[in-house]
Amino acid sequence: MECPDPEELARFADGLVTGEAREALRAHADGCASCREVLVTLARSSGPPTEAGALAVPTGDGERPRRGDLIGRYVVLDARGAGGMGLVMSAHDNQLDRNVALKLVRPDLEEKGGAEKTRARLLREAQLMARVRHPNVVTIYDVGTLGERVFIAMELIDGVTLRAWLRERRRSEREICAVFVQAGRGLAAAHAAGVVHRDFKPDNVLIDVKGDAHVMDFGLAWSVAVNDDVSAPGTEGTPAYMAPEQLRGGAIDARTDQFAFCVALYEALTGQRPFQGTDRLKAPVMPPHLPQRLALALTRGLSATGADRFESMEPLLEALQPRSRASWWLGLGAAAAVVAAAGATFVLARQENDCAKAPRRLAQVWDAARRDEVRRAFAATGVTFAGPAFESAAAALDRRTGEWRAAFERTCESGATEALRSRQRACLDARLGEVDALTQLFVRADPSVVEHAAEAAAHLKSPASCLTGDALTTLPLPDEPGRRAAIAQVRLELAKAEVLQHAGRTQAALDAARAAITRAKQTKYPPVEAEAWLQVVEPLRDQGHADEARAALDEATVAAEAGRHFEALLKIAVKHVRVVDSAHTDEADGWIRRAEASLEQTPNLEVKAELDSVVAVLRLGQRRTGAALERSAAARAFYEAEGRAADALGERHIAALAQRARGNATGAVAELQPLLADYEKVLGPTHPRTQHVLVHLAEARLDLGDVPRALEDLGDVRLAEAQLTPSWAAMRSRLEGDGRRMQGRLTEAEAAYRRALELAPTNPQPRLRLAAALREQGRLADAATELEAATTQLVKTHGALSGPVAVAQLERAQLELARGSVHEADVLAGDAITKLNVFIEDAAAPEHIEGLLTTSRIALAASDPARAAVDARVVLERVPERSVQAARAKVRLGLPEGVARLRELGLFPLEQGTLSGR
Amino acid sequence: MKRRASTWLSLWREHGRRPGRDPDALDAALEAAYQEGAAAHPLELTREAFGAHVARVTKPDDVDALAALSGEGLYIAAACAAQLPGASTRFEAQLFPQLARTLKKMDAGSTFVDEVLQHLRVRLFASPEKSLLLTYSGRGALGAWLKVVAVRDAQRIRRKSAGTGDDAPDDGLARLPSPAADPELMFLKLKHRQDFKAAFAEAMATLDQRQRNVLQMSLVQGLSIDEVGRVYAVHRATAARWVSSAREQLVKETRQRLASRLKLEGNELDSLMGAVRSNLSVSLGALETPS
Repeated sequence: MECPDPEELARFADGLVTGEAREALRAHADGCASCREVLVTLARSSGPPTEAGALAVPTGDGERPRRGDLIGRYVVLDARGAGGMGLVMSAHDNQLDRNVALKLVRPDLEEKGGAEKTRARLLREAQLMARVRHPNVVTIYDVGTLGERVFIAMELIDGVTLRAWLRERRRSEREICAVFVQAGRGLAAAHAAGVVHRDFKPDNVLIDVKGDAHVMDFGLAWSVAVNDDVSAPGTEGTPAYMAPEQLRGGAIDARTDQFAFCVALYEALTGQRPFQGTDRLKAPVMPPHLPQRLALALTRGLSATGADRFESMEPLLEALQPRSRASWWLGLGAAAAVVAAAGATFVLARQENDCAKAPRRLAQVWDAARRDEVRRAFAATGVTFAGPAFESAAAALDRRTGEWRAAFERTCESGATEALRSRQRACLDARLGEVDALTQLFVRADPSVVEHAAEAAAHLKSPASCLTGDALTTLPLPDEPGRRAAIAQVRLELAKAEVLQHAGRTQAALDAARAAITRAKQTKYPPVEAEAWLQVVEPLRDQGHADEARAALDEATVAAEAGRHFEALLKIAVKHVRVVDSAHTDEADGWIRRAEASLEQTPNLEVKAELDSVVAVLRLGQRRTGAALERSAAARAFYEAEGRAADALGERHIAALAQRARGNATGAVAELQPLLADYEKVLGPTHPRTQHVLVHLAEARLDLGDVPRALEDLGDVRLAEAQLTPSWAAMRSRLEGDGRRMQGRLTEAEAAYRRALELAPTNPQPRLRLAAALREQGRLADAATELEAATTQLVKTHGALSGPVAVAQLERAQLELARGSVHEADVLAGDAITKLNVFIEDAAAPEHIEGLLTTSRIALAASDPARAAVDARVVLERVPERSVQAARAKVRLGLPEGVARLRELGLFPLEQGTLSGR
Repeated sequence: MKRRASTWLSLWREHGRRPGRDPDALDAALEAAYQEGAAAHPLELTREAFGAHVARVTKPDDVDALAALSGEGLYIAAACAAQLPGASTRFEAQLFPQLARTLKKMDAGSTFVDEVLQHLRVRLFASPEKSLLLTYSGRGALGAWLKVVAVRDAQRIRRKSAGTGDDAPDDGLARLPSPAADPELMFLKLKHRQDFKAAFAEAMATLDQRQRNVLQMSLVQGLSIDEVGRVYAVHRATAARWVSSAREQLVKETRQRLASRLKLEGNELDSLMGAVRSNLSVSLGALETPS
């Protein structure tokens, strides 16, 4: 292949070449040094500047940003566009890895109040607008200032303006009405959020490639200099669309937008403007070909005074649609248009318990229209895996709503008493409320919602369980309809908080739950108050506020007892196990007994599964792996039967960790590998929980001496490290350090441990390993300092008598040995082994093996080869023959195949011994 | 002010082009490109001059391709080709600073950069009829095109100044700082220099062309993963995987070959391999530099 011409190579570098041509160019670059040099030079010069957050561009007026310039966190991709309000360009958001449209506007300096005030107002308005998320509104992601100017980052729509769309070819009246109705819905959504557009015109509506309308530039018109840099070609002068009150400079409101909307629609339908110049007095003439319903609607919308127009956009839009579809739209409009009134439809639906209503009630939360909205909302986030995330979430929703319909129908058929039926229905209402909350969240998806969509959907509870256990524990509600509605509203908010929690949005979940507590108190209905307090527990725990979580549980207990809410009391006991202080795990056993006694009285499979799950985690931490495996298996069976995929994966994860803790690293790897693939399928590859599995997989590989693959896994995690909390990122670095140490690369190990400590300064594990790495480098004084600090932290977290502190004591023995105090070392190691036997039941646990290898080494140093051999042989009995631990034991026994095996694994001979347990 | 739509079509015909199946779309595409250019540049270029230039530089492509043209780039290119006052000044002010930054990435001193820019200036603006700008057809951003042209020019100038007998493939590696200082000595001290070099060369030969390329970029030239990704127009995660698998393979192969050559024992091999790993980048340079 000949070298491509400069234009083609430039297009390739800009990512404009696709398909086979791109492959061919890649292959050419492989073989052609000079083209490769061109590409390397371009690659090196086209990245964002290294100083993060620097404003590399023009602060002066009139200077145009160029490709590659940085505006805030956005890298300009294409600065060619120009709009009436300033520059529009496409840009890449490095932080969220998506493309955005970036608008750079200069506040009008002539505006009274001065530039500073004007800019502040513009920012405020844009921020207000940023809260409106609607498929027919161009979403605002971000606003900021750049010198004199304000930049607005918004959704990038691939399409043309409504004006251009209308000019493209002749459009039928039906087509025109359809896009205007969509644009009108966008206006309605903004009005509901308190934002008036002020400059609605065909140039401010974009029609995307699928033919959907998106309204943009809300509320910006008033503050912007019209002649910033360049004026838009083809702009016909905005006053043509202005309502009389706006032309006069009078007060404006949503009906002002309605007027502009009708001017634009009239123009689209008739090819003429309804008014000449700024004269608004003469009523517009309706051409005879216009259908009567449109003529009437336009006449009313174009009334000179606001009071004579439609009271809002909704009835106008209804009038624009063919009769048969109007009622359909009303339903959708109510569900979708008003984000602020979330849940209102559901509360209304509660009042009607007619069996025939099931399909309609389902349609309000999940039907083709909402599905489509969600699909678009996902796609609009620009997240690369938005498609698969949508498919997997939609499949879960389909399944749950199908089950819901079946369950609802069964409540109609069954011969149950009215009292039972009403409880079953209340439970079903709650389930539907959760679906509603979830789909509403999806409609307003941002990248983090898309990321967690599958997980949140996989957590939805089964409606079928409403017919049996759960329904029975539903408490009677007060009689007053007002209070009932208020209680239902709180429960809906709680459902939403739960969804947010599962979606990984901890802070939002906490805020929602806290708001619900206040509302719950106002209902004077203690059961719902208890539920609200319970809802803050998980988010608080996830944020590391265990004390606050326990305080919330106390509040919940008071309310649950006052309201005789036994199910809540049960859940409180379970949550206590979850948030128990790791230094006082014995307290947890009391709560477990309480919960189990209560479950015997009133069986509740769902709570039972949650209890099993939290106990499994607790037992794993206590190194009681048998109990952990048993509990997680029970929970997993329930979750699998219920189709709660994400929860079931969590139990498999716990089981795999228990295998590793037992010393069965081979088994752990064999379970973690397929689990990783399943997590990638269910939650997506970058989900934090997927990353957690990868971290644990690397840990188990290190046990097996497979350092290269462990480091490769850890390298992959590093790519997604932004998703992890600091303590997980620290564990990743710590394991990297362990791998380096096993290879004998001590300075790299030290650097990795120090990085882990920077990420999580109070985590004793990296510090303990750092002490070992320093000792191995011969820096004994530094090692002693770090070891002491680590031990203090370990005592604080786990208590003085605990497995982790015994492991630290083993390290202390190694240090003494390095100092030459063989006797000291021997005593310390022997004591540590005794303690480990008490705290860790599995004979093959990594800690035991590590301990025996240590004592064996110390015995050798103490010139007691017989004792060394005994310990080494015990190790050989407990570990797999080809394992790295077996090889090390053979080294102690003086067997040459030990060294050979270590060499085969590519490991440093580890003569100093290591710590590879927890 | 607005011209009749048929202006573009008649201009098109005047310059020997056919309006094709959809003259209206052609008309709209040209008008849009012109408007885009006029909005981007404060230069008074006539429709006639713009149309003539576009008719000359574009290939007889379909209308869709015309609609995707960079009006901004073509406009200023046409303005420069027409020697409009202020056009070349604006062209330089807009594009040359970035160009200079790009050229500096080519391991070159500032006099070299100036030389290339001067050369480029001549080829762009000196004679309108032979201007390089006539080869830019607007199918991508003007800036990107100019960068490629400039780097190619720079390569040519460098070849000339290096003398004529330069027929060895110039991998860009020849210009790297010489690694002669310490690592070579270290390997000499280890007395395994020849064996190591041979083992390493054999290991390199097991890599495919792309693996060798990405290793050179990442380890010798110091490109970040993002940059390697940009070279091949692939996602950074893909680039990361390419680099790490190439590196792992190289280390593994070198280890095996060296071990069998030297019949090394335990610690010896490990410490040698440790040294190899930490000096992998320099070794690559050492291997590829003609000695």
